[in-house]
Amino acid sequence: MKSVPLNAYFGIFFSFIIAMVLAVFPVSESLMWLKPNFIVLTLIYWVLKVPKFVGIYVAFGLGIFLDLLLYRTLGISSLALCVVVYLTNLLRAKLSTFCIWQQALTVLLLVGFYQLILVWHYLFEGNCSINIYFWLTIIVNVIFYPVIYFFLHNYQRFFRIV
Amino acid sequence: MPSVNHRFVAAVILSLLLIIVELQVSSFKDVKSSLSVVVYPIRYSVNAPKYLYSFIEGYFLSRANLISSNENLTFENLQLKSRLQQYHALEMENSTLRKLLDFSESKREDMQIASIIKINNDPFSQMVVINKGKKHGAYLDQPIIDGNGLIGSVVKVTNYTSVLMLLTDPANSVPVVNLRNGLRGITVGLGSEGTLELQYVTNTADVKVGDRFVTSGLGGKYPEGYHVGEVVDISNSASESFSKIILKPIANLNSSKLILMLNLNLEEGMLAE
Repeated sequence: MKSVPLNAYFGIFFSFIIAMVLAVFPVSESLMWLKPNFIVLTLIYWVLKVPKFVGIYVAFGLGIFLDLLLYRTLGISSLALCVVVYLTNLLRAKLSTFCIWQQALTVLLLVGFYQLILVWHYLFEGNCSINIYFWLTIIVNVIFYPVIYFFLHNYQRFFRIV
Repeated sequence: MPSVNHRFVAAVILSLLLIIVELQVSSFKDVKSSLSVVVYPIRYSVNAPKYLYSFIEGYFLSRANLISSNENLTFENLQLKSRLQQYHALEMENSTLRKLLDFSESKREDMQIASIIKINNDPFSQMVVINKGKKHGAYLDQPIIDGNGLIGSVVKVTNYTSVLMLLTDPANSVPVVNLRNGLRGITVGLGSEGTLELQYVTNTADVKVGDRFVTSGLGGKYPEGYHVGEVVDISNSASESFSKIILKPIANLNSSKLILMLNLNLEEGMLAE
């Protein structure tokens, strides 16, 4: 009974580590838009399933780490992730009752907000190369969400994270 | 326990504060590079399999391969050395001529070798990470070349790594000059297409497909003489006064493994008195 929270923390922490390693895994330039945003999808899943462990604080810390990892302006990813987590929390009651495809569609909204805030980051860089693929990754994320859900669901059962 | 709304507002305010601090306070870069130490394990774990593979591959390279590549390198070295002799002579002559015309001396650059740690940052910016940082003498705006030409410049420096912005990044512009006729212009990157656009060249200017553009040294950031790109397409439209000239970069931006970082000693531009 006492070890359950510890189990949960390690399990969730480790899943985020895997998500981050996957996020920086090298992929060829032209195929990069096909890579789903592992960190955002993992975060959405955990906020839906175990909101008492994963919330705004986790999102903020994760965002800082992500900014350091990807050399972005410090604070921009935390802003984006906090917004995503807040929206997920608001929709949590309804979202848990949705079937997987309806959930995926809501993910469209959430990842859409994430990308939108990220546009700000590209403005800071002075980069105008946001093309259609930047927005097409949202669709990729929506399609990949069920895969992540399935994987993390089994992961959650395996580590007994309640 | 503060409610979700309170936490959210606090987190948003804190994030915005961080963004503002980073944008306004220039010394925040040092704090950021010190904090970046925590991400090294992730970077290392992504690269470790690749390093391991190339280590094993190198270990099993056949003896015959090594002997023949050694021979080729010795020959190439010999060729380059003989050209270097001519270069020294030309340098002396150039220096004398410059003195005669009252131009100031141009200094030589120091170089340091580095390699690209191929990690994806964001897919829509042309940045790569290299394995030399502040501790190795890297600095902001440092120009980077490979064996064939200019690659880009350093935009962020941490203790052990640096971030290099490639030529093809839209935020990167390089003052260049046409090798054939001395025509000057500025190249701007076109992003993930991997090409450069030459700007501010009028319709009537003398530019042909195949022209080589090298750095002109104006602006002081990139020393002169380094190959930037070759013209591949020129499109004139009567309605605009400037042509659209597309250059292909000469350096191999995609697969350069080893690159050189130029350490500029106070380079002086040409001052004609």
